[in-house]
Amino acid sequence: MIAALRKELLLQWRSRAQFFSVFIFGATALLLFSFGVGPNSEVLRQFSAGFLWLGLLLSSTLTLAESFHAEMENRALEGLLILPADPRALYYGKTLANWIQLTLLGSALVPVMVILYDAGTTRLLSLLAIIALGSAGLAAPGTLYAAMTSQVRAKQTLLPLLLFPLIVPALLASVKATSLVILGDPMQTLRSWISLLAAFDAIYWSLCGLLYPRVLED
Amino acid sequence: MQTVTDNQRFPRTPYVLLALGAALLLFGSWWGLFFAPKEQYMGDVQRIMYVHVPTAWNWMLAVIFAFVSAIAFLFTSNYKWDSRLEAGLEVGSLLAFLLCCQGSIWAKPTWGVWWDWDPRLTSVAVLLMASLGIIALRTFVEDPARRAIWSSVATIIASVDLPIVYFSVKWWNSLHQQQSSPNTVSPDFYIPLRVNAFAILFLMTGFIMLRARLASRRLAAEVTAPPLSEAGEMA
Amino acid sequence: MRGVITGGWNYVVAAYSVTATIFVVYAITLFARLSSTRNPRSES
Repeated sequence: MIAALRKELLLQWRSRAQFFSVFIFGATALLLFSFGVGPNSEVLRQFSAGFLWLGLLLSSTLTLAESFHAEMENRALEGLLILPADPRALYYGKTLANWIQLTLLGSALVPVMVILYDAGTTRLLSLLAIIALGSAGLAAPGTLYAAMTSQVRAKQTLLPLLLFPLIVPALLASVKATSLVILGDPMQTLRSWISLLAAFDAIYWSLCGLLYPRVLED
Repeated sequence: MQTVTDNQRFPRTPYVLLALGAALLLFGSWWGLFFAPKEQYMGDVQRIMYVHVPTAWNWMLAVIFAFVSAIAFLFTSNYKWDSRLEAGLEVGSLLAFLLCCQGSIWAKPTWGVWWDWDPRLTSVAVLLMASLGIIALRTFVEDPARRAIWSSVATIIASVDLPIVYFSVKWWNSLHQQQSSPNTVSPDFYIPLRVNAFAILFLMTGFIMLRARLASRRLAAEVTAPPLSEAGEMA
Repeated sequence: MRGVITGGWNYVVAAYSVTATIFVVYAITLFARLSSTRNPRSES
């Protein structure tokens, strides 16, 4: 599995220009959200967590789809089946790589959020943890569905269509937790939201890994 | 691929179920509309519950049915479960959509708005989107084997998600004021509720049986796919 | 919600009509689709 992960990371490093364009896409989304709401800085600050996560979610459809693009280009998916590699290792390798990429993306968008919405916070470590946990929740089902939809005609529309309803709990928890970190947490509920997020991640990382080999079957 | 049967063992059962269900629904609704007493706070609007609650119960059954069919297919590779899954997804989506309509109609006079993030209604809406997505997935995959496996996997994931969605929305919502939700009912109101519950159960079962039959026929008409057991050898 | 809601029959009627309509329309589409597979298979 380390080999699979290393290969994925190498692939991603090679296409780091792509990361940059996805980042621009995300930042632009955040900018558009502020236009959607208007120049009311109080309101923007209130919703900054939501905007951050929506921006990340939209960007994730790009990165997730990309993660299987290389395989599709070279029809390498079938080749991988013939190798004695465990498909689960392949799945977790890809998911880990996607997770890292999404976490980096989310973190890169934080300064954009701070500037556009005046949404700063001193609890940077908590914020980073939330971004990591939330990205994990996106990465696990996202990679699974990306594997499916990459082989299908209407892949652009199907991936978000399938993924978005599923990650509602992760989105809710991430936005809520982020919002608490930015706006303040008078009732100390942050820990429960983070636990919800962690539980969601645990369930989905195991469930999707369990089901992945069936998805590759032919 | 195992033989796709046309479910000819019980050719007329679904029609009987549908007729029975329709009759019961008429009876139960008549009772609930005209015979049952007025509820204390909500007045006549409460009568919507006599269709809303049974629809909700049956929707949950449909979700469970789809989930079981998905697992059964992954274990047995028998396409009758795939047909049942297809039926469960479609009928389940129908019930979910109906639930959202009824819920909104109930919400307007009681809460003053069409929608208010009630955990139950919201979970239904999310699951509705999820199942429509899976139905869409099915239309885009041409290979029957792959289509069956993928929709089973997706259905399992979505079904596991349902309780998580429900709890997260409930939690999220609890920070706001407590809304009165369609609540459990006192014994005075049991009869129309139970009659309609069975009515919709029969209707749903009839629909699922017929829809599964349709799915089997369509599958049989498609080009036969190679058996799932021989994974490497495609014809 | 405090107090008693009076009237509201419009909503009740709406809810029941929507329910009935959806069931009936679905049944019709189902029968139509089924009969098209029973006869000389049309392309549906």
